[in-house]
Amino acid sequence: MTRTRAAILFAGAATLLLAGPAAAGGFNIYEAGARATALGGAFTATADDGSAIFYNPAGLAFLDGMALDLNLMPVIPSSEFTGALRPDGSYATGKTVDQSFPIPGAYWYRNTGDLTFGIGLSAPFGLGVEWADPEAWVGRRASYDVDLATVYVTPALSWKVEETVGIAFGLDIAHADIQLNKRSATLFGANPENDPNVDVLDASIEGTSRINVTPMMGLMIKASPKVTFGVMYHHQKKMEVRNGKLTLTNVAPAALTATVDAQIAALGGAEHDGVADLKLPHILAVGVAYQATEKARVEFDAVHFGWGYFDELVLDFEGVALDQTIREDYEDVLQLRFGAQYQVTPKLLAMAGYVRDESPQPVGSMSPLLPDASRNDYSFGLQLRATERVTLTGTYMGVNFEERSNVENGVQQSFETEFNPAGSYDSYAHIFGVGIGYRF
Amino acid sequence: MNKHTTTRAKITATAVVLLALLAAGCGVETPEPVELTYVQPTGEAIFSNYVAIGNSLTAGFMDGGLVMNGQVNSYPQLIASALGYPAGSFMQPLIAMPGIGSTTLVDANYAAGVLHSDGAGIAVVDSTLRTDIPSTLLLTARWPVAYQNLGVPGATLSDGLNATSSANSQSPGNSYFDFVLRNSVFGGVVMCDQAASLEPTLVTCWLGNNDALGGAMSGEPVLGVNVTPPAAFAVMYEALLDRITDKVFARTGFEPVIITANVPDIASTPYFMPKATFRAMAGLPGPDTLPDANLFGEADVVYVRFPTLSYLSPPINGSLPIPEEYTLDIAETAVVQDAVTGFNAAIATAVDERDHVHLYDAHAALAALTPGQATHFLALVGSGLPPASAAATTYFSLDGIHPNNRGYGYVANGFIATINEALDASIPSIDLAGLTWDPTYGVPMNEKAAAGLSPEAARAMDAIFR
Repeated sequence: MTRTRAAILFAGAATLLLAGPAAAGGFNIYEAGARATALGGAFTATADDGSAIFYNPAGLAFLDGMALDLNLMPVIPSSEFTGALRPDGSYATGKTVDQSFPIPGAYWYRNTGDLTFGIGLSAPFGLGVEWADPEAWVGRRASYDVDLATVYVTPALSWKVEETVGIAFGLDIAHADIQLNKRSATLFGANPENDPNVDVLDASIEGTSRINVTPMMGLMIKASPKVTFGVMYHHQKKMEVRNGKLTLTNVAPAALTATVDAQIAALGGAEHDGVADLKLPHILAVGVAYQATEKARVEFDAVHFGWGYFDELVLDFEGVALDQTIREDYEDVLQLRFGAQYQVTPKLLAMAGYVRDESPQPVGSMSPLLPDASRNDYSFGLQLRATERVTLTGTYMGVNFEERSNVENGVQQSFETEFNPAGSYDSYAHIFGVGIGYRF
Repeated sequence: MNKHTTTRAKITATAVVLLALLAAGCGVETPEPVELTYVQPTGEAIFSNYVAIGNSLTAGFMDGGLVMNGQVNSYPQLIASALGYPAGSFMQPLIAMPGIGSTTLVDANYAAGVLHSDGAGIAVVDSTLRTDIPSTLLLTARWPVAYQNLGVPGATLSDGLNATSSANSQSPGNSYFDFVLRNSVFGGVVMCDQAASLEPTLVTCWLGNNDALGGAMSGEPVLGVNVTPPAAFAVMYEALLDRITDKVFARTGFEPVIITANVPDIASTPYFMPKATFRAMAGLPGPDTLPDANLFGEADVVYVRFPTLSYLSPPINGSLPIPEEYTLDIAETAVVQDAVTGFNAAIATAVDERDHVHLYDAHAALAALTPGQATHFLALVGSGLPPASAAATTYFSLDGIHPNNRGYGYVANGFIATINEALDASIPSIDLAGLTWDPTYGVPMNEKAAAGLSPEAARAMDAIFR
């Protein structure tokens, strides 16, 4: 029943660790190629360029020759937070800084008769949330800056079993890079009119995972001249971070410097080694494409993400005091993706798409680290066959998050309420894609 | 390109433009703030975060100083223990032996510690080089948040609202303000705001004593000079209660439960001796032999201050009549007691008007002490009681104003009873028999010589509230 402030300071230091949902949330990035993105990612049953290596490598079986497809898709996310009304009628606000994350998609394949070999580089999981004005950001004790980047190198072999059936197998060789920054604050008594918390510790966590290898596979069946089915699967992954480094920095006001130095010393110093496992879900996509006319084609995909695998994040640092288990409790979700394309001229292809993306994140683990929400995505793009060998693609996707609050019926629903502020988030992301394809 | 194709291209281009506009129109919309339902703590939750504000009585001041031996028996600590707080979890500004007393030593570079009964009388235990105090005596100075026991010896009601340091307190030079409020760290936060910053669910408040005692202990109380006028007191008291309540509410959405104590009568303390008691303790003859007119420098004396014993003893050997600052006459006593009556009326009114504030009637509680409990240790020893029995009988410490361990236990039980009645709770009371007071602080006593009062100890008593 006793509530000691020392405990809070201490807990603050502990939570700083890899803390929070180090890589919480629906942090999948399904945008692996400019053309597929223009189609809203409904590409499993189409998969007719190098990005098939991610979307459905079985599609490679139906491609000719050798080609290189290079894509770059800058994601520009932004989030705003509005805190719950305080008893005095005031409320906190926050917004993320302007950032851009260039998502790569580089693919090469070569067809040799019934077999096609391809290798690709993509980044299907990632996260970047940096809140502006970290000293004043009300959620800084959960996170003020997080970066998660993954790189998948995927070699795949596709076999045209017969004229209408292709199957493929590949390996997702993955690496992850994690950075997280938090603040630990303490009630300081000062400024009782404003935020009474004063930052005393900054915690920075960095780590890279071991190389992780899991299987992936694809199947494509051209059931009729007009109807194609596709299935794709990427296995779930446990990214093992074994070289994690937690660095505690004393940022306390001068009068508290000695106190905080003592706290850091009591924790065993400013640097701590740690390990953590980051669980990534499986991706299972099933798609059907319909060639309505010679020039018009539509596709519908259902994509199942096994986010239930992301149940908790266990952070194990040297020294029991810093260990932490963060509850995530994500749920499996099904995304619905629609895409349509129209061959405007022999050289110009127009594309558009829509995605309904339910958030896998329960309201309880929504936090400044990842304020996820269900989304509606709208996309469109143009592909120009510039020459016999070169295609150019330009894409835009708008990712429109639904406004989401962690307060329901007046009660904050967060699993953890000491550091995770009550309030509502709204987010949006612009994704611009450019692609260049070269056929040798 | 035939006409048909051109039309389709236009349609497509239009669609693309529309999609672009749609996308451009989307973006982050600043959410409206949502409302939280704030829940007033009930039951056990009321006791989850207890904070005490007050003066020396709250700090655990004992034997003329503040030291851990007394602080661990402060009534807030005893209440916290009764509420189930684990040892060490209720933070106080703990001070190591020999503590920080208020005696002025000859060498101003040293600060006196607490008093003890050393066999030759009452003396200062030890002293500390002032520059060493932060490193050697202030054990919890690095505590990063406000103390849960915010009692500042010497604090008046006004100080609770306004003082951030000794410099702007009503007792300039009183370094307890700096040790407890630590505004070199916190940057100017007054006592009641520090309490609110802890977002307490339960607050005890015992302020106002020094608003009368300051004048009473000077021997020359003057309303408006060293005694707070009750009208001003009433305004400040309500302001204090409301300020804590409002600030806690603004931050947490609930109002703390406040238990506030009123101001005891000076007659309840051994420090203010009736004339007869004084004559007996000083070994003076009765008024038939030594008339009051010859003994006292002012007429109509009602109370004689405890340090007068020292005035009459070596090495001062003060001459008669006793100077008037040592005594309170009828008018002076009335100034003090009328003020206390006014304070307590104001406190009662403030409590009545606020549902979340409850009154501990400390005035009645201390008046109800038995004569033995309200008698000074030295007086009990002087009356023939062995020192150990005297120490086990009195509820007051050597300074004559502040309770000893058992006295603070008695006060704690008064607060606890008030809480239990107001909140229909059943917090266990303190076992007073388990609280023992050692006025020797470990130094063996010469029983025969125990009744003296050294001049420096007398100065300590004089300076208690300065």
